[in-house]
Order: sequence, then structure tokens, then C-alpha cells
Amino acid sequence: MTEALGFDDVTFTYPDGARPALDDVEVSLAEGSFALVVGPTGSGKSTLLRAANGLVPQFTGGTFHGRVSVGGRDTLAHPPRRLADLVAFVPQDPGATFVLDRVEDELAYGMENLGVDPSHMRRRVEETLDLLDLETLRGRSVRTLSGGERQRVAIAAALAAGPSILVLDEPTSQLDPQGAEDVLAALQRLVHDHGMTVLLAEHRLERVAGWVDDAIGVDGGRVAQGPPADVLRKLGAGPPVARIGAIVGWDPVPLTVREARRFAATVRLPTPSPPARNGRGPVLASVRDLVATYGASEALRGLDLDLHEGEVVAVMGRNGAGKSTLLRVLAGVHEPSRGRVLVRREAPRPGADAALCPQEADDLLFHETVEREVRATLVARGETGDPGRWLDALGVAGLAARHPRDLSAGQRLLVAVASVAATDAPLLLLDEPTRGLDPPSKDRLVAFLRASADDGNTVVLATHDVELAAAAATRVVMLAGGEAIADGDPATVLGDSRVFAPQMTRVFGPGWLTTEQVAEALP
Amino acid sequence: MTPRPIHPGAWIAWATCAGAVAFVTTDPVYLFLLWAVSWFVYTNHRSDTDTARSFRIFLTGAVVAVVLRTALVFFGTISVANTAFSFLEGLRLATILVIFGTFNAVTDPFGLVRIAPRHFHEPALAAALALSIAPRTVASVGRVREAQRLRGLTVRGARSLPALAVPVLERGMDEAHTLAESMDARGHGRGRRSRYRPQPWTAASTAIAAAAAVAAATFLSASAGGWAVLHPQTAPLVWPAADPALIVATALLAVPGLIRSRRP
Amino acid sequence: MLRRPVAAALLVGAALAPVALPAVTGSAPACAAATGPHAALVIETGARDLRLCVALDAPTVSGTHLIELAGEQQHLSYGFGSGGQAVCRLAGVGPEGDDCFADYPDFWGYWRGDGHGGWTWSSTGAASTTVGDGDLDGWVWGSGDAGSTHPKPPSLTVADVCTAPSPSPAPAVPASTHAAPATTTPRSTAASVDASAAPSHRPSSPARSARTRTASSSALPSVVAVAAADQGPPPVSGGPGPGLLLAIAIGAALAGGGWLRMRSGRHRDEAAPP
Repeated sequence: MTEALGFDDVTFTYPDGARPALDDVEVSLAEGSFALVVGPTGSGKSTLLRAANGLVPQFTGGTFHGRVSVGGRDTLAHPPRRLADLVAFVPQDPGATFVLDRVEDELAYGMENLGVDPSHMRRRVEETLDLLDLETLRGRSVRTLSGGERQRVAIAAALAAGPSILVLDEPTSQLDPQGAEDVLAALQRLVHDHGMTVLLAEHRLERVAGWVDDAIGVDGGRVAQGPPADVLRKLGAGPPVARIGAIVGWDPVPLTVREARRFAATVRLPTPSPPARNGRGPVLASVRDLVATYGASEALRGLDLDLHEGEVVAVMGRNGAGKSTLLRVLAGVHEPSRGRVLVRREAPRPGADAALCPQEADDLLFHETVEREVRATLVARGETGDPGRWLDALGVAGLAARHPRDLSAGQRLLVAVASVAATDAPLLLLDEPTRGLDPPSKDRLVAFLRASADDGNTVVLATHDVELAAAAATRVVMLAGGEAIADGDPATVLGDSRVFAPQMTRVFGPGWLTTEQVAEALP
Repeated sequence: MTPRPIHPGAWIAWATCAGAVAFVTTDPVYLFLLWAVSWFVYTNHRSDTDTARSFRIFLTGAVVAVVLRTALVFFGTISVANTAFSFLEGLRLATILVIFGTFNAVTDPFGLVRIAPRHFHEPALAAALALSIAPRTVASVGRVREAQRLRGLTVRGARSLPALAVPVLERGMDEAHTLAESMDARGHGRGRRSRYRPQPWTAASTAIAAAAAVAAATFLSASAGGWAVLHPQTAPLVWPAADPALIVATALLAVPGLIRSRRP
Repeated sequence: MLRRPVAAALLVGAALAPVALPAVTGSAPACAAATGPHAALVIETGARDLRLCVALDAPTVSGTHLIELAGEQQHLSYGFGSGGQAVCRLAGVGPEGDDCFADYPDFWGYWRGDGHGGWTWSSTGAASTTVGDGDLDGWVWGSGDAGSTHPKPPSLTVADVCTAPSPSPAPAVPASTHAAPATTTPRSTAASVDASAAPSHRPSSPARSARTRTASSSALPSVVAVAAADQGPPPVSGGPGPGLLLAIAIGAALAGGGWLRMRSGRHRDEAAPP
């Protein structure tokens, strides 16, 4: 098998880096692999990916030792554009790559650069539009697309260029579970039928662990390549089925629900008891008959909801169901067209009654150090308290003196949440707080949210991360087409769903939400 | 069915002709009419909120230009005639700004890049990227301000602008850098390029270009003929003349506003 | 497929027409090679009457440049103001400095001769007017803000000025024999082109030609030729004219239409729901 991508003794340090971002890296990826890059946030995954097409070091500068070869070409000897016929890259922030205006033009851009024949371009564009279900969006301006749509367009644009190697950084972070499935299935088809090599970095292992056949574990710049099960075990990471497998001692550790179910038959579990979570307090916020528009369409249609103190409410639903709009209305930054929204019996004042951490968390960060970010919020409400308390709560106290721009995406998100939480508003709203969050960070976030609810606050998080909802929520509200189609405790609502069921539910049945819950119940 | 988009070349023709018209006259009747024409065209064809904001910037710039140019009178002898003269000169410049702002708002600069002939591709792209920084920055400011609101920081008007300026500029530069990076990674500048679905030259495009050409030709010939009506007398001040033919010629530049827009 | 080159050709043609046609119609009388273009400058200071035949150094010059040429050729003294845009002093009469209305209500009134002894009040400053071969410019010192109230020069033709014995060298005398054809050349060209387009209308005065232009469904060349021959429609004095009202009406319609579109389209602008 020929080698598609090879790292030979690569050490790389960023221009201002204190320590190497990649340290003595050895990787050999065979043609036709579907490989996963996994590791804690800030470990060097993005750097590794960007070294695959020469962006590191050609665009970043820094000191680079060793050799990266892509399809036989040395990345130091060729500028990234000379590798564009071989390798395509989809970054974490898909919107950052858009050059043109219309979706179909964006898809064709790569091929235009490569001088592909126009009739061939037309066919490729049509095929790629179908592959990623973008036909209805073909004439739209990319600037008017939602996050999930943008992500699919970015992937499509990379694919349309016809590379033999596709490198993706968290390509499903903004997609709902079904959307993520569709993308991964499309990628796998390309790998199996056309011999494409796919290298992707992902935190949500429950989504990808079953699809990949090779894995590269990254930690502190050091890298270990091997079969996914081994790499994940070595990192102590893995989807919930792997975690429970490790606890129970299943061998080989399952990576997919299917594999786990074979073992699950041998486990006897009592009837599930609902996880011990706080009861609900009095109503803190409510919406009645809420109708809200976003753009030309109605995002929310006659919604009725009561939110109680002490609740952690997960608002779920497919992309475009109205989750973000609901949060913005609760935060007091979006006027409803009809109906009423009340927080503490009054119209919500942003930053005082309700605080929202938006989907683009980076928009919140504009001070020079992490500590100043939190302090700014405290100062705004006349507090002179110690920002450290909030940084500690989110596990980022060690980053207090760092510039937010230098942090990884996951770290920035936690800092953003800290800045918002520091308002001490009783209603805490988070919009899709999962980009870049590795499992330990996610655990931290969950712990923080639960603690906040225990203190009498209300937490609402809009998410399509099923495992996060299963771990954190005391209540799940499912939205579709601007209406609530389900509202209840997680076990019931998630257990009932084919698409939104967490892995534990799929393996052990309704009522089982998290690995902790199952582990506790084991004999 | 969505109508086919107007060819960028037609917009270039429109902007050039409208600019030529504004250039050869200081008669406020035609100039203000051009403002109304530009507004009419803009509202029919503006692409999205980012460009809407950039149009507002051009409008503001135009008004500032008029005010500043008129204020220059204070450096010489002040008289009604001189003030009027300065004002009209400023108005002419401002009108050109408004026309350019409209052009910028209705065209996608990157679409223009793609129709640029091969040797102009690089500078055209650089210009398009430079042009896109302004609306992107403005959008950035809006998002940042809202984000601050969300955590209870009221970013009050002008006072906080310096505080915003650095991070917004930083962000803008980052975005520009990331974009340049990704363009390179997608093969930009490799050399031999092909063109995907070149935008067809439509009947609407012809109508716009032809109408604009007639307008410009009328004014240019009037100018070459030394028509007094193009430059109203300021000394002594009289009501500006408004020749019906020239008015109709100016109104021809509003044709794009009558054509069904691509936006569904 | 043909649309593109046809449109391009239209564009190029339209762009070139105004440049080409004035050159064709406006200039070069039969004897231009012999004597060169010239124009007449009439100045009434109140105390003195000046009749100057001025040789032009280009096919057309501005009114101010005509005065400059007269200064070179006939030692006419002059002074410009408003940054060179306006005429303040002629032949020693008028204020010094930049403000040409320092002696208001008296000032230099600017008249354009129509070639048959009539005069039209110029609505443009002398820096922006075009004086060609066979044209007549008149300046009268006095008071009166508009053509209806300001004193006019006496009835004169170019022939009167350029045949009369004058201290200037050669150009004046031979020019006289060509003056008649020179003055009529633009008119005849205009007439002949117009004849082909709309036989019933013959431009004979600026006011008539304005109506001619708007009334006839003229082909582009005839519009341009007429434009080259005369100075455009007469200036409006007093209050706003009908043209202004038309402009306001059209402007309001455009602005209103745009505003209505903005209102109905506003909702489309915001970003799509996530």
C-alpha cells in the first residue's frame, strides 16, 4: 500500500512557542485509510492537521525539523497551493475559508484554480451538492447560511476539488446527529469506493469511533499511531461504550453500539432508577405563546415553556429548529413578534436577569488576558470580587495570564462561559457550547452547570450533543419547526428517540443515560 | 423562478457611466437626482446586511465630503457665490462616492474578480479582499457589541470605540490572514485557471448597460458642446437649470432599479 | 451569443459619438488653413466700447481663455477672481482681488452672441463656456442680476468686429472673407442632419432648439450635432422652472420606491436561523 501521508521525525515550534507543538512525530498513513486524530484540547491536533497540507510551517512560520510528505511530495519543497491537487483541508471554522459568494461558486473555486475542464466541473459540482444534500442551497449566499449549513458547504467545497487526501478539523461540530451521520457516511463511501484517504480530528468520539480504521493519538505534542481501540485506551479516552467496556472489563473494548450490545447481553442490570438530580424549584422564567421570527421565517411558533430554579434544561432539535432564537429571546436580545417572555416576572435584562454565551464564543473575548475577561464582567456589575473563583469553577485558572487568542478553541469556550457566568445572572444560557471541548473539559462544564443549578440558578443549554445532554440535563425539551414536540426528563425524552438517544440507552435500554449511572448499578 | 443575475460587466458599465455623468456636471438637480437613482438601484439589488452597512458608510462619507468641501470656503473670501460654488464641487464628489457605494453594495467583488482577464486576476483579487475588509469589520463590530451586551457590558457609543477598535481590527486581520491562507491551500495562484459557468450576459444586462451608455453619452456630448446648463451660475446665484432631456437621461440610470432582482 | 459583442459595440459607439461628432461638425471652416479660427470679444465698460477680434489658439477655448488671448494679442488688461473662474476686471474697470462682486450691484455681465446681432445672457461662468471659431462674447459693466435687467451689448455680428479696421495683425482681414461661411457651417451641418431626421424643425435660436431636441425622436447624431452648435437651453431666471419640478417628481418617485422596497425587504436581510 502506498503511503498517502507521512511524518518523519517532525518537530515544530510556533514562533512564540515555549515548547514544541509537535514533538518527534512519526506517522505513516496508508492510502485509503479513514483515520482519527484524537487528544485533549490544546494538544497539537490542529497543528498536526495543518502540517499535512503545508500550512504549517509555510504560513505560520516557526522552527520546523523533519519531513512531511503528502502523496510523495515534501511539504517544505512545495507551497500549499502546489499541493492543492492532492490534499484539501476543512478547518474548525468553516466560514473562514469562503472566498466567493454563492454556494455553487464556492464549490467550483478549487477546481477553477486547478484548471479543471468546465464540463467536468459542472458534473462534479452537481455530484457534490447531492452528496452533502446542498441542492436547495446552491444559489444562496454563503454569508446567509447557518453554522451547520456552512460546515456542509465547506466540506463540499473541499471534496469538489477532488483531492486524494481530505483533512478535516472537527467537521461535525455544528451538525445535528443526523447531519453528522450523513457526512460521515458520505466520507466512508468515498474511502471505500474511491480510495480516498480521510484524516479527521474529532472530540465527539461516539460519533466517529465506529467509522475509522486508524487512529493517531496526540498529547502534549507527542503522537502515537495505532488501531483506534489501542490509541483510545492509551489516552484514556473513548466513546461511552468504550468507557463502560473498560470499567466492566470487556475485551476487546467495543467502539460502537453494535459491538457493545454483544457484550451487554451478558450483563444483568436492575431497572434503572433516575439519576439523583435536584428537584425543581419555583418558576424562574417563562414564555407564553411565543412567536419569534429570524430573517424571513418564523423560528418559534406559539411556544409555551416554564423554567424552574435548579433545572438544567437541554433544548435539542435539528439545525434550524429554533433553539438559538429561543435562547436569544430568553436573554432579552431578541424581540418576540408575539407572546410574552418573563424572567423573574419581568422582561429579561441581558447581563442581569439572563446571561447568554453565544454560539460564536469568540465574539465575547476581547481583552488581553483571560483574567481580565472575567474581571470585565465583574466590574460591569459593580463587583470587586476575585475572578479566580469563576476561572477555577471552569478549570481554566491555569490560563489566567494567557491571551485568549493563543488558546485552543475548547479553552476559549470555557473562558467565554466563565465570563458570562460571572454576571451571576440566575438564568444562564449556553448556545451550542461544544466546539473544541474534549471529554475532560466537557466533564468540567457539566460539573459547573450542575453546581450552578444546585445553587438555585436555571441553566438552559441548546445543544445537539446527545451525550452532553444525557450527562448534564435534568430536563430535555425537543424543538422542531419552532414548536416543542417533547418535554420531560432525559430518560424519557432521549430514550424515546432514535436519533437523539445516548449510547448507554442504545446499549442497555431506556432509562440508562450515562456510564457513571450504569457503572454504579453494576453488581 | 429566480431571474438570472445581472452580469458584473453591466454593473461596471452602470457605475462608470453614472460616474461620468456626475463628473461632468455641478448642477445639483442632476446630482441629487443621481442620489435618488442610486438609492433606488441599491434598494432593489443590495445583497445582504454586510453590504447594507457598507452602503451606509459610503453615504456618511459622501455627506462628510460635502460638508468638508463647503467648509473650505472659510479659507478664502466668504460669499454666497463662493459658498455655493464650494458646495456644488463637494456635491459632485459626494455623488461619485454614492454611486461607488451603490456599485459596491450590489456587486460581489469576488464575482468581479472572476470576470477579470487573466493578468488582472491577482490585483483584482487583492482589491476585492481589501474591499471586503470594511464590511466585515463593520459586521464584526456589531457582533462584538451584541456579545458584550449579553454579559451585561453596555458598550456605549463613541466612547467605547477605541476599546473596540483594537480587538475588532485584530479580528479583521486574523480573518484576512485565515482567508488568504485557505485560498492558497485551495490552490489559488497556481497558474492555469478555468472558469466555472461564466455568468451569462443577459437581456437585463444589456438593458442596463445600454441605458447607462445613453445617459453618459448625452451628458458627455452636452459637456463637449459646452452646455451652460451643466454648470449652474453661482455668481450671481440663480436657480439651477434643469433641462428635461438631461433629466430623462439621468433617470435612465435608474433602469437597474426596475429590473427584477435576483433575490427571491 | 451575439448579444455580447453587439452590446460592447453599442457601448463603444455611444462613448465615441460625443467625442467624434463635435469635431466633425463644429470646427474647420473652408479657410481655416489660411487664417485659423478666431472669435469676437465685445467689451462695454460704460466709458469705453471695445471691439476685439481674437485669434484662437485651439478649435475651441473657454470664455476666460478668450480674454487671455485678447490680453496677449491686443494688450487687453483683465483680472480673474474666484480662483480663475470669474471675470472681475476688464480694461481697468472692476474690483481688484478675488471677489468679483466687491463692487456689487455693479459687475461684469457675460453675454453670448447668437451671430445675428442678438445676445443671450450666459448662465455659465466664462471658465466653463466654449468659444469656437466665429463665436461672439460680450461683457457689459453694470448692475442687474439677470439677462432681463442687466444692460446688453449693442447688436453686432462677428463680421462687424472682425472686418472693421483694427490694430491687430493679419488674421482680422482675411478672416472676414471666411467669417460668413465659418459662422454658418455649424448651423448648416446641424440643419442638414436635422433635415434627415425631422425636416420640419430648423434650429434658429437656442430656445427653439431646446424644444426641437426634446420633441423630435432624434437619432443620437442629430442630438449631438445640435449640442455642438449651440450652448444648450436658455438659463432659468426667477423661480424654479418646469424642469426642476420634473426632476423633483422623478426624484421623489425613486426615493419613495426605494423606501417601500426597504420596508418590505427588511426581514429578508437578517441571517438565517441556526
